[in-house]
Amino acid sequence: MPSSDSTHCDIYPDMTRSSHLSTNALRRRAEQLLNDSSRPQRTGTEQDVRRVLHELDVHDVELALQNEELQRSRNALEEAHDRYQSLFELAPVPYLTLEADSTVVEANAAARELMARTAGLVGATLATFVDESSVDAFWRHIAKACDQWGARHVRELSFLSAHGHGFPVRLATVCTPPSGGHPQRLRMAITDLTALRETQALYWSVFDSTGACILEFSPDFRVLRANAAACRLLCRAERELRQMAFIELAHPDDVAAFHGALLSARGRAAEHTSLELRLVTSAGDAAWVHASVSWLFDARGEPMRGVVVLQDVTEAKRAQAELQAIVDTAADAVITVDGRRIITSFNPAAVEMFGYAAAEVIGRDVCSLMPAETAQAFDAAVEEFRRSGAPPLSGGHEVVAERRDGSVFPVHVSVADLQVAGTRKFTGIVRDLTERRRADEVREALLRDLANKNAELTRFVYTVSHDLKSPLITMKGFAGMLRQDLRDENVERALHDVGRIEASADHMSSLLDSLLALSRVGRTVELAENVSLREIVENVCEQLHAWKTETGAEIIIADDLPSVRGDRVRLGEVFQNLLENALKFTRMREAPLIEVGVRRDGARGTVVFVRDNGIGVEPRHFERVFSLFSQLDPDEPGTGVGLALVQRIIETHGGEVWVESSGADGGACFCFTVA
Amino acid sequence: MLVEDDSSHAEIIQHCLRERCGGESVVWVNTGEAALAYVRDARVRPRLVLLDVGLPRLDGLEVLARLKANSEHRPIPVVVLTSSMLPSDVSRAYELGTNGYVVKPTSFAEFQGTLGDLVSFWLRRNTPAPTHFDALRPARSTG
Repeated sequence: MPSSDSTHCDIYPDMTRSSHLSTNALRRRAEQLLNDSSRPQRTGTEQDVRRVLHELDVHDVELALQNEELQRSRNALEEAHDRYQSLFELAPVPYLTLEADSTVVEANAAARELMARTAGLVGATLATFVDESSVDAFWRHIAKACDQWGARHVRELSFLSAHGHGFPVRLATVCTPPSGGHPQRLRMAITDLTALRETQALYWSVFDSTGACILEFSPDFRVLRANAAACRLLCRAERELRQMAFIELAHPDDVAAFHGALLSARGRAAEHTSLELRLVTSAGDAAWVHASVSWLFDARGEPMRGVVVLQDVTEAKRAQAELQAIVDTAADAVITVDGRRIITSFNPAAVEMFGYAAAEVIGRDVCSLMPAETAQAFDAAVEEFRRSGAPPLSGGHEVVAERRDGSVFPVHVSVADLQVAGTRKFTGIVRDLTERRRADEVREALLRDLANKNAELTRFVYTVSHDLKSPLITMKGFAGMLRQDLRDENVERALHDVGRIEASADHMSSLLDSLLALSRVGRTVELAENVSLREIVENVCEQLHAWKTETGAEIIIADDLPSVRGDRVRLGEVFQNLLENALKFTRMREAPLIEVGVRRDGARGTVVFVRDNGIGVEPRHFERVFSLFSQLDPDEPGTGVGLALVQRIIETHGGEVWVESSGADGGACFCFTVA
Repeated sequence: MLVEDDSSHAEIIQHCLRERCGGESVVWVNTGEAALAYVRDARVRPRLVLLDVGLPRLDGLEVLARLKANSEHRPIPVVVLTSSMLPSDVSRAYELGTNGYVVKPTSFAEFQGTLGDLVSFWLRRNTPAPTHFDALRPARSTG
């Protein structure tokens, strides 16, 4: 409903209200019209008068009925009018009815608000609200509308605000023909474009100044606009870009993916599709970009234009590629694990180390790479991490890992935690310690061996000095006594002393010879030859034939004595010494028996032995018999070098030598292994 | 008593002892077994044992161990007389309770002097040798 009477009058200035005329007035007017007419005087019979009176009554009732009908129609009309008036008044679009000279006839609330006039707009001339720069355009627009009744004309121009500033508006005007006694009129809808223009200005400001690269393109993928950042990225002027199909910018390998993304985004309103691809600059370089594609659609849902926002990720890609190359070529296994212990990456070294393909383990629990006990320790470390924040196994730990085939191996693990895109991850660097452990063991064995050799050398030096000193003491002692005997002129004693000195010198000479022979062994052993031990033993037996006959000993040589890789001469010396010893210590037997044979010993392999039924060796002397210059029986001839020599030769052949005996009178069995 | 397997050394030592200890008689044995048998069976216990280390079969240190393990024989002074300077032999001998360790000198004169000092030290003591000899042990420079 109208808000006030004045407004009411503004809106209905020429409204005729017949209902306001009284019935009496109507009667008077009818009588007057009758008198003025030249109707003939009517006469008739009483019957005629009665019929006429009846007709009049009927007409009277009909008129009353018609009047009621009219009254209802009038009410309906008023209601529709009110509804129209409401719609007009409350419409959000400023709306005006104008005369052809732009005098405002009607104006709704939105129009009054736009013009900042709560009253007095009706009757004003709209041209006075037009910005001076737009006045000509305004009148051209009005004239154009008046020329063509019913056609809609649209024009954007500038109005003046109440403060005297221009603001942009769009006018949509239709001219209606004259009717109801008034001339042609203009119906005009006004749209305030201020907010739109501000938004547009903001968009362009962002478009031009942002660091992100923005490209707009048409539905057929031609570049419409490119901002400064995009031009810089692609090393092309905007003018040049505008002539290009958008797809031309993509690297040949990425065209298909890019086209797919553009089409995919076009199918979905209000969503955008992202992808990473390479674009080609004018210089022909490839630039990696992260592209986000979205489309703008018109009211009918048709795509108007697309917008691509590009982010240059070339550097990030390069850094990522470098890092990946490092990880891929690292000698250590690099494994990343998420906060739930799930493996997220597994480098080639890890594949090699654990025997799993990367695809097999990615997505699995990292505990599948370790045996149960390590997994328990790992769980405990993870718990500790949750409690204290220190990453599990940071700083490096040596643990046991498990390969795909279930075998376990020692590893050194160091773990670092890192935040990747807001997610916590752990990187484990795993080094296989198998080789190092093996090298450590070899080194320790070498050190042990060296220590043993040193100790042996020390013993050797003491032994040699002791045994060489002994004849020296004798010689010096008897030389001293000789001097006394000469002073006493005791010739017999003097001769005895000289004999002792000579014997001692001979002994020393033979000791030195033996020592020399022993020292030669290590230097002159030749292992290149494949020699038959049986052949060697037979040769030695031939040399000992006289001795054998003298003692009546029997020497049995096994047929299956092996052939070995070694030094024929040195191995001959081994058997020479062993057989001589055997003959020496069996000579008191009635039936001396010597056996040269071979047996298989599980741990030691092939064992060659020389067994006799002689006086035997007590177990406490088992080691001493091999010592240099060691003789269990000082009355036996020899220097005590023989078995030391045997030991030295066997050791230089990579074997070991030992004696087995049940003790005194039990016979002895000298054994050695051959490599 | 002299326990020495090398007859030449035995002869030299006996010669020196005869010169320096006058009336004392010297018994010479050339094996460890003979030495133990003598100590066990002799009517008069030896007043000093000069013991070589490198004896055949039962070596000198084993003889020393057995003498010192026997409470009856323990008081007999035993001096190891050897040409071995092997540190392990020296320390082992003292661990077993030797009363002295003397390395045979190469010079005859020195041999005479050393043996003279040794014998006069041990034979002029009227009291039995102490059972605990640490006080007499030289500084472990041989170690």
